[in-house]
Amino acid sequence: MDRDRVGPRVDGELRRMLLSPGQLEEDVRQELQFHVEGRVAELMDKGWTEADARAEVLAGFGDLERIARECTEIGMERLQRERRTQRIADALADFRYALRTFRRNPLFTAVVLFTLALGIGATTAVFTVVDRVALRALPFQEPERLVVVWEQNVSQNVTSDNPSGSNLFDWRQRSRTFSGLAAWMEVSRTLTGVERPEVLSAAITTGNFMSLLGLTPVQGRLLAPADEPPEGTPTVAVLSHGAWQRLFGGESMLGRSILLDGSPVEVIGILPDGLPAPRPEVDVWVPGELATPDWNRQTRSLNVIGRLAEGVSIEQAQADMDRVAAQLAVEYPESNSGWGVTLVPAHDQVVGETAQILFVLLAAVIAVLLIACANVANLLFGRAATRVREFGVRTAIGASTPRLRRQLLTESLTLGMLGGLGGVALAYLGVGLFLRLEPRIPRVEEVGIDLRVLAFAAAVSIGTALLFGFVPALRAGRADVSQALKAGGGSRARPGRSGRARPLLVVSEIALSLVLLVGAGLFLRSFFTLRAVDPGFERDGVYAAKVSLDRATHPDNTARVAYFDELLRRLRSVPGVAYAAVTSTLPMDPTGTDFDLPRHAEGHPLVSEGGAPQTDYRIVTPGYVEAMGMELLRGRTFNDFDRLETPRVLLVTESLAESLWPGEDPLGKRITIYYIQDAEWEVVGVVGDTHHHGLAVPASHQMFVPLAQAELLFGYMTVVVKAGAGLTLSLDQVREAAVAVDPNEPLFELQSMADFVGQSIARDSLATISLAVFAALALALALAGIYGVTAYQVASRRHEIGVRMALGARRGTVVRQVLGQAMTLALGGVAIGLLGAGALTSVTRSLLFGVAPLDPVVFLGVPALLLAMAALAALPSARRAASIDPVRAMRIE
Amino acid sequence: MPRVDATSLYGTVNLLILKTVSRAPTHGLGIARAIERGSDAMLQIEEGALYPALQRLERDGLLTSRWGISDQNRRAKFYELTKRGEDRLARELDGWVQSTRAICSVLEVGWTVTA
Repeated sequence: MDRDRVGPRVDGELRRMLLSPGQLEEDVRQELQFHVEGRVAELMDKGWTEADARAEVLAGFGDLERIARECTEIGMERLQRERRTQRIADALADFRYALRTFRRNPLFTAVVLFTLALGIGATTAVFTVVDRVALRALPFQEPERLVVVWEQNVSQNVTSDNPSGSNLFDWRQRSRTFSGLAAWMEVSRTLTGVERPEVLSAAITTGNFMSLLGLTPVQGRLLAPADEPPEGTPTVAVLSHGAWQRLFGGESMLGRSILLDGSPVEVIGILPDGLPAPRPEVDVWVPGELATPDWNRQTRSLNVIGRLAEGVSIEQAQADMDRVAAQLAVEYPESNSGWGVTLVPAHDQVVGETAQILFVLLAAVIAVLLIACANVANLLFGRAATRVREFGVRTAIGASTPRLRRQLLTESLTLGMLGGLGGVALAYLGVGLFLRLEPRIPRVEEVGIDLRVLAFAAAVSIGTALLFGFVPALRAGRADVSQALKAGGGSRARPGRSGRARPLLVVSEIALSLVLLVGAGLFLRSFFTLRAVDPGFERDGVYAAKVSLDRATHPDNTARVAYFDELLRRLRSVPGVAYAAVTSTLPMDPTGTDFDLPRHAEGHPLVSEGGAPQTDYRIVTPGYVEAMGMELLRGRTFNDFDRLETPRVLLVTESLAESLWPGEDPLGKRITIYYIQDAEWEVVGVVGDTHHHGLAVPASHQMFVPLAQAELLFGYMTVVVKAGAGLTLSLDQVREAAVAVDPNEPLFELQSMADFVGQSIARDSLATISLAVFAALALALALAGIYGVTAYQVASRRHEIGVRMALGARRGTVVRQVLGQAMTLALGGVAIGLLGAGALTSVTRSLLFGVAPLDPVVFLGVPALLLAMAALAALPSARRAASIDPVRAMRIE
Repeated sequence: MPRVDATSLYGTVNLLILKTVSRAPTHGLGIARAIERGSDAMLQIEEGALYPALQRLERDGLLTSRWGISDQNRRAKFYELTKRGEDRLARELDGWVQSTRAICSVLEVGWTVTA
């Protein structure tokens, strides 16, 4: 046996044992005693009597006790120092020894490190996202004092509607709990006067918006209240850092003028990138006088954010706003009766639902990590069995039990740290991949691996190492020296007590993976149910793009209608295009305009405008229903004869018609829409419902009016084109058609409806895919665990199996028995896992769509699958057991 | 002849001990005797200072000790210089010589000191 095999630095164990405090005191006394005797002898040589000599010497010594005590104290300090040094030296030696051991067992080490790297890497990657998105405060000044302010109307079932500017004006005047209230509106502005005109994502904000958030400019200054233009167009603008780089190559823009929608504005500052609110995509910020009393109180279209005054709780602010809303409801019953205010903490508003999903994923990935830990612990147990002799030898030559335990823990920690390094590398790749998927979750632009994440990974690595190394280390101390040395080679060591710990580990692995599999199963079912929802329009072959109309060149509806007529005429002549149309509001468009108007339907009691029910309102051109592939159920769609001078006509959705006039023919019924002219519209057609806000959101009531008859001017409209059956169309030609009409009005955000639908369920698909991946990992690890433990059981019972086969046991019986043992473990794990999964339904309930949290398909199918896989994993060991040659197996003994 | 208590010479006890031990492994009594002998009994080291000093030097890793057998065939604790102790001795000796030379020159005492 070469020196290395016995352990780290054998001489270290044989070296002088450290003194105990009692020994130290005894040493000191003996040393002093020696001195006294020596001096006494000296004096006696000179003729002193012994008694005199002793008295003389002791007198010279002074207080012998005190000296002894002082020496002992100093000696104790030395002992402590030596012990520390020894410990460090031991740790280093253990570490070097661990590395040597790993080099000698490359397969074992590779499997362990891979398992750990996978577990730690996945956990770290998920934590990276959770940390940035859900845990960290928003990057604003004192973000905990920021609240988003919504209007709400309980009777109309509106939980959060955008506030109107006049209400904001009154809130500012009357509330006492805010240090400020600011508003913004998302719009688009066309940048012209540059080589390639581009539609920018813009935000109009109140002058105090940026200072209220506590933003800091990269360059120049922020918008200030004094920048709010008294009327009409703003004269200054702030660019986002990204837009500044993209549009102007980062050259100095401060003080320079740019053309937005044809009007010159001066660039006064540059804002940093990565601000999660209102939206990270905003290119340009312009001031607007949004909080004014002349704003129509019914036009609820602002986003309002407030900063709570110092020391004010959100409950106090809510009570304050309830008071203000109640006053306004009395003063303006027309518009405000029934309307209240809801405050939502800004952090919840930005990440609320996403955070819930992320925490589910974090829990799932931690379960994977625990399973990985159990697997590694299992491997360590297996290896400890083959190292019984090594430890026996070391105990025999004086290594103490704590010393052996420390060595094993050092090996575990080394494995943990190496696995952690691999994990960080995997996490880095994983996060990169995750970002490549362009997940539509808030604050994702902030995600990245940083020191905090590295600290987390280190903590997880150490925690993991302690977790999987603790029990095997404890057990090492119990090795029976004489037994171990007698046992000869390490190949057939007795299972001992680890025989019980390993199956327990496997049971918990199976339980955990069952919970994950059930979760993944539920999410998958939910996701497929969601994807199968018919949105009410076609996804494939339908493309949509936005176009923003310059208010200067298209000042009124006539000009706009003329523009769109021309645009649609050109689009329809693009090869492959079957239909082309324009709408104010595209379904599932996260950045689109969407609003509802109060209306009164024929046959219903007349109520005041303020109390009138509101219905989603869309303006479309003829051909829209056809281009979207919506279903026409009754009557007709719009056509070119619906002009400004012809009677006003309206399309309603099926559910709206059914709720307004149940059992009646809706065609010919009239609806009054309260807007600029409170005009009456006649229903000429009923179309199928569409899921406007996402597949999971029930279809809303909608009404459609023709663009030619509409009174509204929109900032931008959406163009929809549909390819003819079996035809493909060139998106470039679609773009060119728009440029041909007006080079200053390019199409933007051109994508297919399938993309829009995909984006609307992107978060669900992200959660589903991640959970499925984690569950698959968990399953693979648990199966490896089953395989490992059965293989070990068979190996350690070779002899017994051999004897039984010699006594006539059939191969089939042996196979059944091995499988039976594995299945007992699997059944135990499945039973525990089912209890766990059942207990978690309250968490998953709100995240599932169209699937019961105790869905029988999942709750029966997953255990069956897991049991079948477990049997498969145990099969190789069972067959090995059956192929044992009784004669050879017994001869080894 | 007046005797000088070696402990009153600041910092010199350590120097004397290290120097004494550097010649051969020695026990405490041997160290005390050697110092007395070496100074023609001019210097006497108190036991109350010697033994704590030995413990301190051992604590600081300048000395190491083990039990052995004395000339009189008795069990005694022998001290030995470590590598660190040797380095320290050389350094302190040098420093002592330097400062003594300096003091002598200020006091205008003719004396030749060499290490």
